[in-house]
Amino acid sequence: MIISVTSLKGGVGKSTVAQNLAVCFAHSEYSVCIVDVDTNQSALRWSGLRDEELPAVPVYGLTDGMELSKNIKHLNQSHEIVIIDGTPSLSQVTSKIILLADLLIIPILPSGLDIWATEKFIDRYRDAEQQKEETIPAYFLINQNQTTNLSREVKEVLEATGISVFNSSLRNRIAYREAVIKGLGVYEYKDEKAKAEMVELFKDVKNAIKKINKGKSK
Amino acid sequence: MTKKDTGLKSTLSSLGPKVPVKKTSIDVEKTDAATKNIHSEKKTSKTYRQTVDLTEDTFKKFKIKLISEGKTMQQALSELIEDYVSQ
Repeated sequence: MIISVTSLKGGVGKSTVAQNLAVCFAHSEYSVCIVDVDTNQSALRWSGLRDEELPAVPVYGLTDGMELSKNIKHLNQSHEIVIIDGTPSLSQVTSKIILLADLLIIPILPSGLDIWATEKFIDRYRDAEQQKEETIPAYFLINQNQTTNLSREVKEVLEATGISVFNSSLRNRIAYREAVIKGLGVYEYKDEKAKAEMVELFKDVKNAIKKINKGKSK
Repeated sequence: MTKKDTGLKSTLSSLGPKVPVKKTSIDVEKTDAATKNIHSEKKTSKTYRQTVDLTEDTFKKFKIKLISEGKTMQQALSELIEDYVSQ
């Protein structure tokens, strides 16, 4: 199963979400890998810092081209979960990442700028659905969430797009930044609050997978 | 080689049981063709998206015909509507 984590805007936490979800999958005994398509290759660097004795999360750095779909096809055959860490652009690679997804996760910050950028992303997502001629299950994930009126309004706006919003959200915590430089996920880190919210997100993702399984079995 | 005890086994249950994952397949050629279509020059003119309700029987026949002719729904519907409006 291919889980694409992508959005139009940079700095929304794509790599953080990809790495942390991969760690949760690895600890739940899934064979999981990350495909790092982001030009920053931060997931690739993160994997270099990861302790070999922790559950394995191999990371493959791939660039766009004809080989992208083929390589992801091979990885999808040898892993239960392939997480694609996308690139923040409306380029062909983003379209391909959306098309390849069995489940699309769109991290977004609760800000007006992010909502504006998301309008264009949704157009691209609809184009991809039209070309693929099937629904691409997608969920927004609110990152660096706050208990403000703006955050609530952003959630309402996202829900009105017709794309689901995960019930769980992530807060702006130093634990994410500390864990990444140690090659860890917050599930493996000392901050219990960060760990708890990541577990909640992981449960939401598993529920989304259950829904997809039901749909595919029809 | 035995893995180092990270002390995480006690919290493993918090992640919940493993959910089965169905194997999915990728049609490389279709994916790449779809990507090209999204970024084709034709999309420079403004487009409008419409929704049409079809009966299940018609929809199935439509899909079978599309597959047999190697056409996309977009291509077939555009051709039909362009023919219709040009009459």
